[in-house]
Amino acid sequence: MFERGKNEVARVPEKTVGETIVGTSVRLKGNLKSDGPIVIDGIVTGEIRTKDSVKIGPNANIIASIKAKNVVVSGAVQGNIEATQRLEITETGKVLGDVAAAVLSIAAGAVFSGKSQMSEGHHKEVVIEPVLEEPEEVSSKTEKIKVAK
Amino acid sequence: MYYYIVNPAAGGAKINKIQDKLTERLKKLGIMGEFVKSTGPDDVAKLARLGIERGYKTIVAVGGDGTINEVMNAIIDNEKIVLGIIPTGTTNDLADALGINDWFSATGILASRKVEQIDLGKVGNRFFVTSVTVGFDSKIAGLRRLSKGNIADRLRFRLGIFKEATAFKPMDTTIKFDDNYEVDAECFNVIVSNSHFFPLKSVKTEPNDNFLDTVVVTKIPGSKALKYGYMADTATIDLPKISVFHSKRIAISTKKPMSVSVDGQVIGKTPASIKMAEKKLRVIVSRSRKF
Repeated sequence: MFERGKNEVARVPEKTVGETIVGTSVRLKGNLKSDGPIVIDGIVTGEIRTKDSVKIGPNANIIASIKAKNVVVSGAVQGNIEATQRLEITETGKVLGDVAAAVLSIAAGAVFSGKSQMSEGHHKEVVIEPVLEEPEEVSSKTEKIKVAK
Repeated sequence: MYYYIVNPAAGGAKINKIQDKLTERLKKLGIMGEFVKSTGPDDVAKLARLGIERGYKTIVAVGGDGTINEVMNAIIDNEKIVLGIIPTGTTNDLADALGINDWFSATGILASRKVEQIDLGKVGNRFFVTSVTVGFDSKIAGLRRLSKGNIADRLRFRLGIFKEATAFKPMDTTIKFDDNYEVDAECFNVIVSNSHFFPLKSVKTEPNDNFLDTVVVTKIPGSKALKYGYMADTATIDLPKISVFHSKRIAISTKKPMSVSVDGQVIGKTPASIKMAEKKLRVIVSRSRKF
């Protein structure tokens, strides 16, 4: 989807049947509903619903609520997110809104402003990578915090 | 008995080169029938209706996607009629999707007679099997047949593609899907398909999934437009900046009217309303069809 170099053919990733893709420089307005995975690299205003996964690319700009099984946010989302399984906000992700997920993962550098709610499930786990630089003598491994039942 | 409607102009008059071998093969397989030749685009539909009046239950389109589209639109109201295909055209996307790769294997497929029902789309009053395009593909639809012609034709093809690729301005496009959402973009090409996407090899569809698949290609550099235009019929090209949507209804409008082509033939201009058709097409397919 992204041009990588002069001599390289820009390759579009292999797609499964039913994947919805909102490419860069595309503006979508309304209720985007699908049974399959959704990948967004453009601008979406409204609602996003799927029984599958939603992947928000680093250049995406979303003003919408999102409801899906798994959600990965690498761009900007202004709206509430509900993931029945896992919500991941990567280092370039920015979420301004409330979130609910069985597993919530927020990478170092991510921006999150809102309330979070852990839904009922087999795992109650929050993975938060350290934001500040670790002092030299402390391990820089990711800290897993298990939430007691 | 089979009724063969031949488009003598298809594929640069390919039928002239294969006619004797074709009839010999059909005789050998025991599926000879009545042969008729069309004299123009409107004639194909008339011949198809004539075949139905004469009581034929299998109408075979001998030509490319355009010929198949003409035959299909003529027979679609009669549910008992089965469509057969012998691909001889410049573009043979439907035949390819159904596993019918060339005229020779098509004869074996006709003889084995595996019949499937496939989805159809409708744009206005016209049914389509493969795709509706708006944008660059429609602009160059008329040039594609030159790519299989003689040296002079092929030179005209390349010069024509160069001219269109360098002059093409992206269209301000709005597309509505199922009254659920709307997409705005500056588009190089919009392809609405219920079959194998052409020419984007990394995007696949299922002809029988009851959805239409829309590929939107936004603004691309002239060099990529040129490469896109020059590719061979069955070659595909990876492109950046594509979007893919799935729906049952699509409404395409453009700031300036743009040509709309259906199964490779220009039929009008935007705005265009496209939807899944209720009718399905019974067609003889290969046992090794790729969906």
